[in-house]
Amino acid sequence: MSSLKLKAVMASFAHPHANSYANCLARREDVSVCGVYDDDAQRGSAAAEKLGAAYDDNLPELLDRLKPDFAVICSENAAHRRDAEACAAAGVHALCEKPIAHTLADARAMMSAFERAGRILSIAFPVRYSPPVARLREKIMAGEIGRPIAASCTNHGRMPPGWFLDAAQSGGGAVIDHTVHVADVLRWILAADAVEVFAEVGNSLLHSGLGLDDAGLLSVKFEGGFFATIDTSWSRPKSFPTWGDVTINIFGDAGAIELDAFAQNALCCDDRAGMAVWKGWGDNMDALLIDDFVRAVLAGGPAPVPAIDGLKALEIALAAYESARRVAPVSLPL
Amino acid sequence: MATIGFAGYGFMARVRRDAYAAAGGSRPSFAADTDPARRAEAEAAGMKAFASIEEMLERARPDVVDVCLPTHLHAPAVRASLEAGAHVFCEKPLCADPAEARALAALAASRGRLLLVGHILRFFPDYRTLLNSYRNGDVGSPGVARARRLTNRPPDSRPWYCDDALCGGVILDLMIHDIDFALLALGAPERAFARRACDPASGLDFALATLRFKSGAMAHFEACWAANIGFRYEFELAGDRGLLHIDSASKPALKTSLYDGCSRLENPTTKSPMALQLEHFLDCVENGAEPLINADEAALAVAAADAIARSAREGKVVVIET
Repeated sequence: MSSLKLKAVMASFAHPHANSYANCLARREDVSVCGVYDDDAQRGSAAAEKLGAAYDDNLPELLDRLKPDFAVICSENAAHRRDAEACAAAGVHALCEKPIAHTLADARAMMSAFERAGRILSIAFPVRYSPPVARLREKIMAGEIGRPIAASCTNHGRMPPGWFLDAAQSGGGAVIDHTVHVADVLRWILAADAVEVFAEVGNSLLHSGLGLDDAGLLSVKFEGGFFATIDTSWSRPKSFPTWGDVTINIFGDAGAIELDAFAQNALCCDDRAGMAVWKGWGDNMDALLIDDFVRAVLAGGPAPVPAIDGLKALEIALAAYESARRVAPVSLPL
Repeated sequence: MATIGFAGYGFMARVRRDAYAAAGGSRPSFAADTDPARRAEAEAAGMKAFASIEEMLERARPDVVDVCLPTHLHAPAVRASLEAGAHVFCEKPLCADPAEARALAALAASRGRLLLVGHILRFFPDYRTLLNSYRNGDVGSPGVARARRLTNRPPDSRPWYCDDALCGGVILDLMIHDIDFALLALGAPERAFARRACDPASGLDFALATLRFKSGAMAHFEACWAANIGFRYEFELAGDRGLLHIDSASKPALKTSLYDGCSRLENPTTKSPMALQLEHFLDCVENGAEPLINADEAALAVAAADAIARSAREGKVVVIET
């Protein structure tokens, strides 16, 4: 039976979501995580050992040796293109961590590489798979609040460690890290593209000496006049009871819906931790994302979250940086 | 004890009349209103009523005029009262025009009279707790503030609310609460950007705005008037060391659910914010207490709200002159 399993390779554990995706894959009986690539040998071999997979510090060689069905790319943002092009060249489907890349040029190159190879490139936007978010979309599409007019949104977080804070590898701080989730959900719900972005971006505003943007307030206008704000700030301190949030308060001409995608939690006070924490009890959206991607691989496509959606979400984040440089609204497409 | 006269005896004056009673100190004994029915109501409540502010000022000479008029009538009433030598309590916003607001603040200063504007969040126990904690350094250096305010549309029985030219809409009338509080916490503003949706059919008036402050800190504002949206507010202040967050919907002390489907959340306190505000204003007039809000701050809130409204109209970044 094992020969009928789909073979998967984890391309880097640089992004901590790799651990969650690998666990979700390992739980499936029809998938075998057979290889791990990572340019950090210690990190990569530790993950490989846990998964019972082969480790290699060279992705093209690993793909050539194992001939997997698909790869999950969780390298640093600036390395996505390199790893994605290796997958496309090897004829391997890929699920790529968000943001798709740190530049539009990289994102376009990735898209065309997969188009040429005839393989799936899907972007990991797990928030789409949150049952409350999916339900919000159903309600909007069913016209429950009438014509959508505007939304106030957040995707807050704690400040991440390591390469996230190195602009050369991440492409920026809080704005590129956190704009794309909500930007994608809004595009997905509205079936409309953004046409204008204004942003206030703060450097070292919440984390003194950071030397990178850690606060962002985006004002985004969409086709048809819908407008929204997105707060992307790394404004949750270490003592905040959870990692962050995704909230969307959307107003239409017949009603309003307030979404708090992570409200399904229990308060947990821990004297040893010296703080209160919220423990989520909602569905594991990473597992739902992985399951949908595996389904698409088995079906031979199409990508559940097409790469163009990753590019369009990235474009909104990059427009925010441009707007902050100009202190003026910026028109899209860039 | 100070003598007090209402300028305007509509909805807000009736709310404040009850709050004066709850505060337990001086109470208004005069009221001016052009509407004979309202004058009769004031008389029935034990006040002497006048057909104009000028007549009240000349004949009753109150120590304090409490301005409870529609926004577009604030400035002339405040000016007349200050010029007649009265201290002034004025509902927010002080007025709609930033230059006029600054002129009124300057007039109060030159006449040596108090001009106290009812930015009532400064008297809400949760906002005060948040502000004290922030001033105590609990969040460190401030970075991002977020404010939300949702409330049911003012009823059609008060038509001036439906006219932007008369009340300024959701930005000048509602968002200004949070604007004032953010200015109090974060200091001088630098620029504003905003978008607004007014939907006449449903009555939705919704605005989203950002303010950037000279310190580099930033604030986000969400304000909504809509039918049956209910009442909700939140304020959050994130700094480089911590976070403060208050939410009118979290853990209410009382949640009333009726079988017809309506539900209501309440957090009762011994004194309402309005009573605490009037108690403080009277303390300033009668005992020389230091005001928790001065007229320059009220004028700055008008300037910031005006910049936000202008940005929403013009789709541009608006620099705020301070």
